[in-house]
Amino acid sequence: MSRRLPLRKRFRVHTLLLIALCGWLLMLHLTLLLNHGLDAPSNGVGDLYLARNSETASANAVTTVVVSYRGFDTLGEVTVLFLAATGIGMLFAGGLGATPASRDRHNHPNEVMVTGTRLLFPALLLLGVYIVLHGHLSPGGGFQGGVIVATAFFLRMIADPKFSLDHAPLGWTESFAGSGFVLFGMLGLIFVTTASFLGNFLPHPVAAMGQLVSAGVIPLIYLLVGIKVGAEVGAIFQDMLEADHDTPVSARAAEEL
Amino acid sequence: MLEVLELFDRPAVLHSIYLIGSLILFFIGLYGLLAKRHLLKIFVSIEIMELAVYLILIAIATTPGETAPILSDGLIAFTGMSDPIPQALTLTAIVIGVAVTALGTSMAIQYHRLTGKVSVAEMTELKD
Repeated sequence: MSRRLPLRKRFRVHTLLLIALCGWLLMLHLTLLLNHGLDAPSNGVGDLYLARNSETASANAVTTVVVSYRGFDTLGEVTVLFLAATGIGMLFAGGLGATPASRDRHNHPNEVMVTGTRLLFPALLLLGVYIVLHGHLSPGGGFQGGVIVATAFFLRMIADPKFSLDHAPLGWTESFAGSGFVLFGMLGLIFVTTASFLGNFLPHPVAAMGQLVSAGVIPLIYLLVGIKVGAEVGAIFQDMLEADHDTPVSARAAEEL
Repeated sequence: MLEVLELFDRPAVLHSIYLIGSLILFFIGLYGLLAKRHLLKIFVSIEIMELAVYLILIAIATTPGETAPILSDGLIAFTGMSDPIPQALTLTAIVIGVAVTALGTSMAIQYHRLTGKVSVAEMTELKD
């Protein structure tokens, strides 16, 4: 249908002109702003963190910033994710009188999907756990690994219509991980040696840097974050999939109109 | 030939290329946000804009010659590495972006179920 329209009707010309004007102005602004800083290497709080990073014995400086130096930020981030997951669960589970989880029978996954998932599921699970556990040694961490684990379970949900994650154990896992995070922060506050929220109270010798058991409390906190993110994203997938198989309310609404 | 390559290795040139590319992506997303009427297309446009911002943050923070801020492959000291803070903040932003987009999409799906509409132009429930 759109092929028959002339080009000027397929685009909104006024919007396009407005966007071009905005782009030009922002470009001009950024050129003025970044004129000084572009040629010199970065010089700021990041370099300070890098210089002091070896005291945490974590080989990955990004993980140190996420979990230790800005751990409070991460706590807030996990809270936002939790709120979003709760909101999605509320939107899909309650309210509209939709009956949950009557997965339809006429929508069978095909053979390639089922066999491929059987092959991929253990590998994905292993990869996710590896990425979570090695967050302080290599690129990755709790967020990335947790999402990979959730994706593995999502594949199983698609491939096997009878498979579903139960919401109660997911909720328990997620609240266990969340309270564990806060508990570790509080313990750091209690111990005299650190006396700060999320302080690294476990022994973290610099000589052990680069080994799996190193950096004290950092891998433990990232493991809890991974569990929490995996449970939350899994719950989001489950909610959306249940909603997908409900009776279409819109059809009923259209009939009533 | 070599001079051209060396010109591209200068931080200012490289950062300008990254910046222009990310800004083009950003304004593609902004156009989609303003010109499209379908709710899900609007969310996709917002995602594209977010992606452009992540790219700008990461690209500007890394100067050519600096390594990733991770000790591996024979590196023994935290020197000559790129700034870890924009990377950590981008990680935060990605997670928040995913959460917010998932919530927004759910709301759009529920709105479609209730009313059968997908277009923002037809959202006239509150207009008297």
